[in-house]
Amino acid sequence: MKKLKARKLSRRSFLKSATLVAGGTALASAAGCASVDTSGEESSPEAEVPAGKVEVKKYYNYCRGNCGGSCPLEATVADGKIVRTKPVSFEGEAQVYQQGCIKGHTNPLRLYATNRILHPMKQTGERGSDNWEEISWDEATTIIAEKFKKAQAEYGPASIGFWQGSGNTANLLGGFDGYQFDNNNRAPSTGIAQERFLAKSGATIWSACHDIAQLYFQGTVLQAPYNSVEDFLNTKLFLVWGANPTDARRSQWTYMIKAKDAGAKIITIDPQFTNTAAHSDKWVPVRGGTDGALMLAMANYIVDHDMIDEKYLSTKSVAPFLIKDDMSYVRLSDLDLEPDKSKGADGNVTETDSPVVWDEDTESFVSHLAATKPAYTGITEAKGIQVQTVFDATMEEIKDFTVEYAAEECGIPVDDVVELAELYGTVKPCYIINSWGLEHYYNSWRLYYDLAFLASLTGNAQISGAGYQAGFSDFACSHWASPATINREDLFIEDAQSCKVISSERFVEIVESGKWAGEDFPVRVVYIAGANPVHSCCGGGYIRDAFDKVDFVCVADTWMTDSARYADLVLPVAASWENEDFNGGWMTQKAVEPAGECRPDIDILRDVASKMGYDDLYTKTNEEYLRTLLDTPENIEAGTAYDDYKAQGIIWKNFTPSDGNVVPEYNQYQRTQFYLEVVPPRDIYGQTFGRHDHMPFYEHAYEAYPGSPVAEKYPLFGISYHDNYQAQSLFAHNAWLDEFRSYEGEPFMRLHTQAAEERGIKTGDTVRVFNDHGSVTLKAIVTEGIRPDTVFLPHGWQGDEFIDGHPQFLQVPCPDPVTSNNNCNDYLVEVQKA
Amino acid sequence: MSMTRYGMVLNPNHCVACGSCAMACKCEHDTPNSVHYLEPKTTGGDVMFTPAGTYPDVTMGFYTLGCQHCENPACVEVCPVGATYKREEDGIVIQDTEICIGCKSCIAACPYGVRTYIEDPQWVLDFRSGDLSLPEHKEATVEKCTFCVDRIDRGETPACMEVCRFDARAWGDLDDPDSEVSKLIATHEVEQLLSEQGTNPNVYLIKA
Repeated sequence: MKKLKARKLSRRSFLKSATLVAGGTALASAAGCASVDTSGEESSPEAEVPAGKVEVKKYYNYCRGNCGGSCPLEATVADGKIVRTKPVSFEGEAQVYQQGCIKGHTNPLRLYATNRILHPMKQTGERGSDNWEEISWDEATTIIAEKFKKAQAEYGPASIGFWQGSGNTANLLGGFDGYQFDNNNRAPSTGIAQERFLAKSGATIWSACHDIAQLYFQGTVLQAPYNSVEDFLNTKLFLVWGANPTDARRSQWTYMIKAKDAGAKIITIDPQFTNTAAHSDKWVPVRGGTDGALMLAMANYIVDHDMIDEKYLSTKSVAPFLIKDDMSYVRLSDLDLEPDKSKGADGNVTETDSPVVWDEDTESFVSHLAATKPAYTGITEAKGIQVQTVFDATMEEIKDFTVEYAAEECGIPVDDVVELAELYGTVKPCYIINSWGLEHYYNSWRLYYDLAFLASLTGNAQISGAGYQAGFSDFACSHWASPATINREDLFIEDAQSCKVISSERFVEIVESGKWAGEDFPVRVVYIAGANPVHSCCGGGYIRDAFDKVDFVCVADTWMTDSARYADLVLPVAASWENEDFNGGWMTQKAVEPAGECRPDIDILRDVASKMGYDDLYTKTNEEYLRTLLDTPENIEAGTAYDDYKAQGIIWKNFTPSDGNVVPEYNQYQRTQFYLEVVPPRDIYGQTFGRHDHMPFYEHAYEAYPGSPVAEKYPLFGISYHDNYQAQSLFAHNAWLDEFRSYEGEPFMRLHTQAAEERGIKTGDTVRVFNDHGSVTLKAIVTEGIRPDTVFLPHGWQGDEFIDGHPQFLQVPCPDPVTSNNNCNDYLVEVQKA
Repeated sequence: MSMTRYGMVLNPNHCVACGSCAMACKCEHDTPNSVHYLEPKTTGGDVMFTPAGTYPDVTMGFYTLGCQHCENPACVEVCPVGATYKREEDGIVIQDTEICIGCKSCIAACPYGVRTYIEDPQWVLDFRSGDLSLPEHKEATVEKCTFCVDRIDRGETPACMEVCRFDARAWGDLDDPDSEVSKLIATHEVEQLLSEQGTNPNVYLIKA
């Protein structure tokens, strides 16, 4: 028998552990967080393990990292611990859909992290002081119930807010479903734990805003379609614009390299020389936040140089629709024409007052459905009504955004603008691969009109090999089985109250003013679960300060996050692999016992509910809830019921390779939309919209733009980067990843050689990056691979991993009036050697 | 019995130095802190993920670096105790830490810098992880890529090969014309790292 030698722990993990409780007391180090033996001596009792004959078990789950990948993982468990997680290997033809990345392997470190929260703890000093006292679950849930009841009685149920994120995407029993794309039409989540409590209490939902400009405006409002990822093989040109598929949309890269090998060209438009840019035929280093100017200059050039696909523009886009002075479409009834009639499958006839176009073939105003040759330009009057085509209105609105204007605004040569316009105007089919890199500026929501307009001009939509959004196409490659049906009955309760949904980017302004939409709106209690707003929402410093004006902040999380540090109470939540749950698509198998006193979110809310007198709120066991959801006759028949998922974790489907699906426009007009009659804001607070908010237009960002008054003090554009090593803050404090993603063990910023020389900075120097909002001190790397006026700042590391400060504190919440987006790159900085 | 000559073909045109293969290797072998048998690399600037050239005309390349399992390995020649040797049946360069005396001659001899002296191994986790059937790491020995010889002997794929999503790495028998690696070499222009050293690596890189 060979003895397993006890291990020496690194000084590194000792330091991390010590940092975590710094400022605390002996009590603090005994309480709460995962302990690491700091003696440097043998840290675990010697265990006898027969070499080569260790009994191991395999479990299946997916990587709950919220990078967008949701990659299936296989875990190996030995002696009650997960000793390995790795992406499930796809065999044969399915190999093309292989998932996983460097992060997935490191899930053991997430489970046995030094910053795990292991016990309920209350802050005994001021918020952020790290003076934690371990308390019992009974005391913790009693405190929460009392705070909730007090706020309800004194300020009403809406004064309690649940702050949601995507930190725990298995959310039937645990976690919280972060996104409400449309705050005005709240969709019930899949989460029983959260949904029942919200409906019972009438609490406010602080809705996630990350990437919401695209998700809401391009997805929900404009309803831009996207083809499946396999169709990438059919393109000639990729314009990678606000995306980094090599790192952040890896399933897309699989297909992009196949297309590239077959001769497709790649052009990357990005302020940074990304890994995708390095693999591209050309890098266009556009200034962040100015992409709209470039898009509209391309549009002007394409129109001026007769590169229009007139057939697409007139028959497949809204270009020929006629608009009146009040921005509404001229409809059949406006011209006393009969409504369109269509017969449904049920035999009933539906009448539609469709938009009207001028049909050149019949020389008459007719429904756009009837016209064979709609005129997209030159129509100024319809039976006495002054009108304009959408195309003409748009061209009038964008006329100032010339090639020369864009070159100046975007900080690139005129030749680059022309080259892009010529390519997009002549090479077809072409994909614009946009992800969420475009949309972290106050003006970003406008880009989705622009992209739809460009696609309408050139016909690069609704055909194979083309598209104007890449969407979630990397999810398309999953080939595991979803349940045949879902029984959602447990998501609804009888005496449900309605909940206000407000974008969390508005939290600071509401707390500061005490008002929302012209009414008093006290925020008294914030319960954060599956979210880390101080780290991941815009302007972490402002959010931290706003907490000071709230009575009670509670964070339920698996790890001690930046936000947890500023809470009054932290609650230990079971990690992925530590409890059984379901995310709507598949089960997450339980592989090991929860660490410390960790519990799933539902068990926490169960106790709080009972102490609030909601005795009838959670009447079933966790297994019973899962069985109600899954044990439908259809699922039992299809092999996708509870017992099937419990046994298999992931249920694989028969794999059939796809050549790619072309998805047509599915909005009410089935035409590419770059115009809206009514602009529907995600938050309604009395704002009004002008003419240029209805169609393509460029206006500069909030703080970060050429000529910004802030630039006099802070001339450098700050920008983050979605690389392969981070996913929000979910892989922070991960020593295995640090070996690959750090500069000598530390987080770093990047700046251009010229900016560095002007400031006497060399690679490896410690620098302070600052502005009026905040500062961060960290290592610097000097590179030619970034715009000279732009600096990269890392995202994903927690505050205690920096020498000082926090990059998130350089930002300011600046939600736009339409989408309330998290505009996290809209800031300027200065850098100096520390 | 026909002989096997295991080799690898890397494709820098697909590789993004994402490190998934390197992390798979690290986790499989439970290597001590900062010890990697396989490293993702970028070419261009002095620091990882920085390019060569002058803005905006810059370039950067990608590959991974581990033991080249050379035909004429410099390490084997200099090992005084026979701890490093080419396995007869398949040409894998073995490093046997039971025999190794930690003299570091092989580190000095290897032109690729892919061998690590394990002086005082430390780990983040306080229990063994990865493939628990592998031999334990020993102090004062030299380690390197094993070509996952244990996995190969069990009929499995090397850990790094299993996880690459981008067809950026392939392995197989270079002496078998029907193997994936032989076909790649036959249909692409390939190169070996530091071919002037005369080591004749069995790891080939497809030319950019």
